Amino acid sequence: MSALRLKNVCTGYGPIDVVRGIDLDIAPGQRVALVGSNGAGKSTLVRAINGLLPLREGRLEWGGESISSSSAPQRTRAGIATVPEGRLLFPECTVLENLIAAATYGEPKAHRTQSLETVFELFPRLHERSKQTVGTLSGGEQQMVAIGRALMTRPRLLILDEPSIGLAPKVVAEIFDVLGRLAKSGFSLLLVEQNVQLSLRSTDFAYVLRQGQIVFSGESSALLDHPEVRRAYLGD
Amino acid sequence: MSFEIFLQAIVGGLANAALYALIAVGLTLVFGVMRIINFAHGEFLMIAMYAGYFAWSLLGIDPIVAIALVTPVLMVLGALLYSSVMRFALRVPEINQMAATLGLSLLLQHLALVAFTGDNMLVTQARAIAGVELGPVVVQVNQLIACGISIVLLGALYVVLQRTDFGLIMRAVAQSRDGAALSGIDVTGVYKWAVAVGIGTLGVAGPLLVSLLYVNPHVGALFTLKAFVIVILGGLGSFTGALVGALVVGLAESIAGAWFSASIAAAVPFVILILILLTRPEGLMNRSVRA
Repeated sequence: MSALRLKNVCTGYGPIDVVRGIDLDIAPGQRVALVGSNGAGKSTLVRAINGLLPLREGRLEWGGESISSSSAPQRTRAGIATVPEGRLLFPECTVLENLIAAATYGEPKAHRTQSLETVFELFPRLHERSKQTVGTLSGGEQQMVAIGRALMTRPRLLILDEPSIGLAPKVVAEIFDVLGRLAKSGFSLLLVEQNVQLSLRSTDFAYVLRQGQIVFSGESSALLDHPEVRRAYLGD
Repeated sequence: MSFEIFLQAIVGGLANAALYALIAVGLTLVFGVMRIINFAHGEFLMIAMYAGYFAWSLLGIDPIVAIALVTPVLMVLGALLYSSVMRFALRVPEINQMAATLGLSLLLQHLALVAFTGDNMLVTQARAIAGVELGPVVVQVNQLIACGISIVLLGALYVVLQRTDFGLIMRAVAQSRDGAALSGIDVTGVYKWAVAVGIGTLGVAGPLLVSLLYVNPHVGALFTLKAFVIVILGGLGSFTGALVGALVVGLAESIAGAWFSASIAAAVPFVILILILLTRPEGLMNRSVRA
């Protein structure tokens, strides 16, 4: 059974339908990539999944139940965590406050402490800087806070929207190393990236989005060898 | 102006500033969290003043004791304000938001006129004419009480915003609404609490103020404008900015009153508003502290 299932999803802004007719499945523990060029509708689709943008048509199922009308906080609490594009952190709060803010909704204190330990184990640098205001951190460190904040919600699906954008290659490697370790711990991953090579190499299955519609889907390794995908996204 | 009169003006200005700060933090809290300026803020102060007055005149309750009754009532009114007006105002452009809260302000003023007439009402207790001598300066007892309670409440609010989970989620929503939603924070619940607390602070200020100043249906408009000047001066949405703004306005008003006249003193906040908008429109504390 799918963890997350999108059936014929359509959404957009104003009079424009940005994505339409989207069917997408993510199985428990599966690592899925959503790739496409700039403006293909990837971030819009992420906002439809995490609840920041309402669906215009279609249905969203989580664990077999419809969550189409659930709000963004409800979806997060149900286990769908997002590391959004632009991070959307709380810049005037400290690292620790950013992390704790995501675990304030009736979670037992023991869970909070346990989640904090997990995050600090994955990103020791955040532990060192826990009292530092987030707005004063580097881009890479802010990305670590964003991932840490998502993990504080104890997710079963982690959605990462452009996690490598604007970061130095060394930092990207560090973050993807952590993502690799996280994937082994059993939860599902939806990776949204413009860096097609990186995302296909880091996942099991992939969907290619073009002009708001899914044009290819298949195993990531197979898509890496797909001539049309290689020509369109890998510069062959 | 003699040094004694100057000192008197400073002390009076500081006492006023504490009460102004208490009135302004509610406005800035609601703006900081929701990004809506509530132009009906002063009318809720007017309601709290009437509540304090009638608690004293009809039930014989001291205004200080009445705070315990009026504050929860004002918090409920704040929650109703959110549910009936502000949650809908969130979906419309800023100009419509302003028109909606201005309309509410006029509606409440006219309802008060119907209910309470246009007469001035004031709590007149024996301590209203009592003073405390602090060296060459004399401070009204009621002013001292209002100042003390305001400072205690402002301190408590600061601690709540900075040191509790409740304060943290308010600051989180203020800094990134979508980020907070993706952290599982019930943003609409936070909005409701922000308005309830923002209006609730007036439940403390109102009964204190009605021992110092007449209440009538139009008294709130003056305080809305004054609170607006204070929060613009300090930086919209900033808690500490509201404290600084209140200090500047309270002192400037008081010194101008002693130096020139009460009429000039009344104009001072608006001169400050014009100057700040022209020279530093982001406010003195431009960092959006919201705590």
